[in-house]
Amino acid sequence: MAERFSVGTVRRRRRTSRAASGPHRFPGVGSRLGGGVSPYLYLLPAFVIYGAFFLLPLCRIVEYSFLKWDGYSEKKWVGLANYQKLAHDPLFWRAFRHNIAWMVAGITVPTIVGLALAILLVRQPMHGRTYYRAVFFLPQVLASVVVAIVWQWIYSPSSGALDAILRGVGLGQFQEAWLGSTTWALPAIFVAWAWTAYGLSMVIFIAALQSVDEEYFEAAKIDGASRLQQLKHVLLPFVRRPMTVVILVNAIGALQVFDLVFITTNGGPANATLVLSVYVYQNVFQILNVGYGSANAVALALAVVLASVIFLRLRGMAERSA
Amino acid sequence: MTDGHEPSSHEATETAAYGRRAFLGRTGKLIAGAALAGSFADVASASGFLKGSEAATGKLDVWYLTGSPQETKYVTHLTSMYGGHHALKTSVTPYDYDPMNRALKLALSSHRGPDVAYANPSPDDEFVYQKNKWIIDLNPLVKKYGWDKRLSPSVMNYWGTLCCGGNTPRTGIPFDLTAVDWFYNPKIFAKYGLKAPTTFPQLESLLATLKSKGVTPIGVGGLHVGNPGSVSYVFQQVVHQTVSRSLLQRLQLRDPTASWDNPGIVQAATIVQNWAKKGYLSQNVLALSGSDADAAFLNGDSAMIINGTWKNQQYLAGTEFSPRFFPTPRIDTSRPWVMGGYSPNNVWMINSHARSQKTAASYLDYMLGEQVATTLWNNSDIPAYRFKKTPKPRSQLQADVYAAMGKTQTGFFLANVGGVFTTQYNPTLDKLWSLSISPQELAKEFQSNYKQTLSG
Repeated sequence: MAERFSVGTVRRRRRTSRAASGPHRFPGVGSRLGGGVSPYLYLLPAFVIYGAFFLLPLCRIVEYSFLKWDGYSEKKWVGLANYQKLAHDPLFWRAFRHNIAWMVAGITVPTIVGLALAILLVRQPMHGRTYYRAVFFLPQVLASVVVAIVWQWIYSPSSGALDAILRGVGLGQFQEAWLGSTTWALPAIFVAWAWTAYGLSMVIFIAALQSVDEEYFEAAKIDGASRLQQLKHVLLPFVRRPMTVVILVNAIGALQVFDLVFITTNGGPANATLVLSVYVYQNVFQILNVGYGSANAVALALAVVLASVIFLRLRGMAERSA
Repeated sequence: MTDGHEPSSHEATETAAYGRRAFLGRTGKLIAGAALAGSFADVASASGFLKGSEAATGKLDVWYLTGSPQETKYVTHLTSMYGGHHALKTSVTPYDYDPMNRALKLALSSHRGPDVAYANPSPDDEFVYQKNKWIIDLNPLVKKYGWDKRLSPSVMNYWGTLCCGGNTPRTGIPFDLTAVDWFYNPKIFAKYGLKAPTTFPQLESLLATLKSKGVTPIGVGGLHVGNPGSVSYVFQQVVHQTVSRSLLQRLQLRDPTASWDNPGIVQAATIVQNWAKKGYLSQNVLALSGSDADAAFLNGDSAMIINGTWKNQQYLAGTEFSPRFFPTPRIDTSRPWVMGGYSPNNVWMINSHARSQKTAASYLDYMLGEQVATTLWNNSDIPAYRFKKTPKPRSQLQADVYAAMGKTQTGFFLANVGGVFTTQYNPTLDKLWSLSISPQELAKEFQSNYKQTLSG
């Protein structure tokens, strides 16, 4: 009786054949890089740039967060006062909640849409596949200012395409003042963001799917696997690793969102779209409370780091279980 | 009266054109060269964003807080004319309100920035520059050039007195007057037999009539909070009729004993919230931008819009009808007429670290002269210059604005208190328009934000 099909079976067969084929392809590479200062010299230029434009500003922001400073007068050390204020600031927490909601949606929507499009473009026979890939990826390369303005037009209650379409298909009762509604403004801007974010997810998934050997699917078919079973047992195991990358990138992007919100609503109406980066901007550049704005920025940076660590841990756990 | 800086137009145009070409060419080469050499300081120097003491003379950088594309155009043209006549390389950088205040503060505090700025005189702006001595005292120049005889005395003293008392240095000087109030479409008014109101009941009746005819009475936008020309002006104009001007002045100048939680604020909020309930404002007002509101007014979709007179030229150029203007009628007729928004709206200032203060002063003398005043007048602006004989208005709109300014006192931009109050002013008002807070709650929230501003 033939061995029942599974990805694990095929992988075991491949490992066996690789082991039989001979020793490591690149012997000695590790030992050559093992000593001396050369590797560090190669890293130095990148580290200098990283230090000057990331680490140093980061340290300064942390320093400013302990100050009361308007950006030009004398600096005054206030210790943790800015962080204490932040803990009791309802606007900060409101912005934080918006960021968390955005991150949760930002992890799921572009990931699912990107994966669905990737499956469609890789697994379905169709004409003009390259053309569709380019078209679907296009929003990713548009400047965020352009995206913001285009979606502002789309959502306009007086001349916007969305309400016109709703009226046109007889769904006029669902028309909304999208960006002027305290309920709909945040989801509306999120849709605009997701429109730009799914392209990268799609490309990463396409790369992963193209590396899947067709023999897995053929073997699954021979074993009588349905399309859904093929998706679950063949395709998804191969995109697990790239999926953690996609989730991480989208989560960080979601926490950092600024330009779309700033251009379309600037946090309004009634702070319904206020996110942390816009709140940092308001504090630092409009109120000129550089110290408190920096404390907000540090909190935002910590949230990004925390999200990254969580996702990297999850990825590690997923890999170990695989 | 001449100002002694009138080049022949042909000569000035040619020289200015040459000056611009040469300036652009040289700047481009310098920036390219400096970039190749990898020196940021050189790039900054070549682009004119540099310390006065390190700069070569023969250049004049002007940062201009502009109200409209038309205004930018004629100020740039006038400056080029001046530069052409004096063999100076001039550049005018137009700014919107928010970027200007931010950029100028950072530039002046590091002893850089433009030689001359035309910027906001509010407590968060000119007062800060003045207290830090980033801009010079203009009093000696006023005396030297006789600007006090040339310009309206009340306009000249207005901000100086507000800032620091009678003996304060005069660090800003205006060249035009502005007001914020009601622009209207006379065609729509004529169609329904309506007239510009002179009493508050007439205004309420006018709004009701327009609404009953299916016309949007007040076309304003509330999207992109902080956008000039927004729905917040509706509240601002009514507040000037319900709260005494002296209290508003104390609030504007951050008097800790003054309070926003007062009956006048509640009354104004009640009136405008009722207007919102009755549908007098644009439908979906919080989803419309200031430019949407402008477009609705210019297309005849709304009968009126509340905005500043810096929009005069833009509105005149953009319509087939000729817009007109009226001040908000008084609620309490025992009080004087007051228009919201302040005048002078912006003032000229000279950087303490200008490349050449002599050149900067000479440029200001030109901008405060008759030639420039005539250009402003011809563009439907209201210059601060005292003509020997007031020229004939170039439009009915200009005549209306001129007449309104003649009978009213200038008020304040309520949002310009600064700090948390300013950033939360529109979000708080958004709740009033969307009926999610009461007028009483609005007054309390304003006061809470005001306290936060005072506490820094």
